[in-house]
Amino acid sequence: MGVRRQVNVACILKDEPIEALIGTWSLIHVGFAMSRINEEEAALTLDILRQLGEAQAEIEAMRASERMLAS
Amino acid sequence: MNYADEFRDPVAARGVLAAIARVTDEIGATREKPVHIMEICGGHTHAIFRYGLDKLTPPGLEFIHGPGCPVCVLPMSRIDECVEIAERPGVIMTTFGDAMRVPGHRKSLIQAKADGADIRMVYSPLDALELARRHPDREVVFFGLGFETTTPSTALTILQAAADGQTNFSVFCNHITVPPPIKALLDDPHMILDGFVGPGHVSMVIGVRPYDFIARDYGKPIVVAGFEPLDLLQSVLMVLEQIRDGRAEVENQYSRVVPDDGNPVSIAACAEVYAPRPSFEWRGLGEIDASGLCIRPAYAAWDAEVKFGVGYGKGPRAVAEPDGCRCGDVMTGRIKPHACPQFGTGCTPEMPLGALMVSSEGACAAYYQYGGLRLEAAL
Repeated sequence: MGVRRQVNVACILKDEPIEALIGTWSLIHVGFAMSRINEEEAALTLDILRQLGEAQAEIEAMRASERMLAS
Repeated sequence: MNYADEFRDPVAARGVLAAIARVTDEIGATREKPVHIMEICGGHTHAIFRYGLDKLTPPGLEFIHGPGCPVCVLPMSRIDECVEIAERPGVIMTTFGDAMRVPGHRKSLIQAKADGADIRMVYSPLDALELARRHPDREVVFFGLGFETTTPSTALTILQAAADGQTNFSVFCNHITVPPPIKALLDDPHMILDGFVGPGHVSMVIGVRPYDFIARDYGKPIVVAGFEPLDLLQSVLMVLEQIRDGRAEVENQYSRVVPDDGNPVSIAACAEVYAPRPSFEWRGLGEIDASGLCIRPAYAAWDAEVKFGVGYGKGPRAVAEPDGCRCGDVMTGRIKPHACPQFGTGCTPEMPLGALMVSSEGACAAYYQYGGLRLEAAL
């Protein structure tokens, strides 16, 4: 599945052997690995999004409750 | 986790959309008096239409589509110059596919190819360099095009060519940078913008600090955003919250890809290879100071402008846009794509008249492809 292709990793390789990249995710653009995905930051962003969803569920429950009491 | 699907979750989107509706309400924005948010990047324009986000957000929120589609803002004169180089004997012109159909004054690259010029589509500038290795008797030219997302790949390819002594390879450099046109838009007295969704992939290279002037000098919020629907919605919410709270800050929603300081290797490669041009022409926006990049004299051997004597400012300037084309008005937010008399009739993705219909990141092509015409007419 997917595409196999040689990419240049100069932009994402820090002071480390190239093997350190195995198992990491990277954003590839026109044949170059441009940025390593920061997994902690991704998890934080998803957390905020989840909280927004939960807050909305709570608001909807409150509204439903108010409507029930008003009727 | 693959860092894409999670950011397309419709359940999470519902929560963000509700928050967007609430904050838009709190700001007091209405259909008659909307809050205007510009998505700078063409990738964001494409995503907004692809996922129908403009239809899901409240009528009090209006997206203005920014100039961040490199193919769309390329002036016709540069296509003309590229065709001129491509038609020289012995030249192999290489280009990204989306530049092939951009209309030039005489012809597009695809028309030049049909007329016999050796023009080839490549996925990467490294493929163009490989072509030069395989054809030592030919001159291989790469049509370097794009914002800061793409500038490092061209710079690193030139550095590779220099290291290898590959002198039958050169770049026709049309790279441009994002901050100068934002400043030009903010200085335009007709432009009414309340905030920006900032370009995620440009920022993974340059970081978020180059946008400081937007918040500091112009008092406008900007949130650097990813490209999945949830990324965009969350970023829009963050912009709206800043507006509601009277804040103007540079925020980073796309922190999983964008480090605040950008990518040091990319920044160093670009500084080594490029210098800013005094000014560069943007289709629809005109000349903008220090918005284009040229290749430094140290790398003149790989600069197609030097090699072929086709230089910026050397040819006749200000080639007129095609009759009836209103790309410029669309790009500055003055009209929506379907208000152009050519939209969908004289100008379609198959036979584009203006550049905004060519690239999938162009506002007109996005409207055309995803039915913006039909839906907006129905509202």
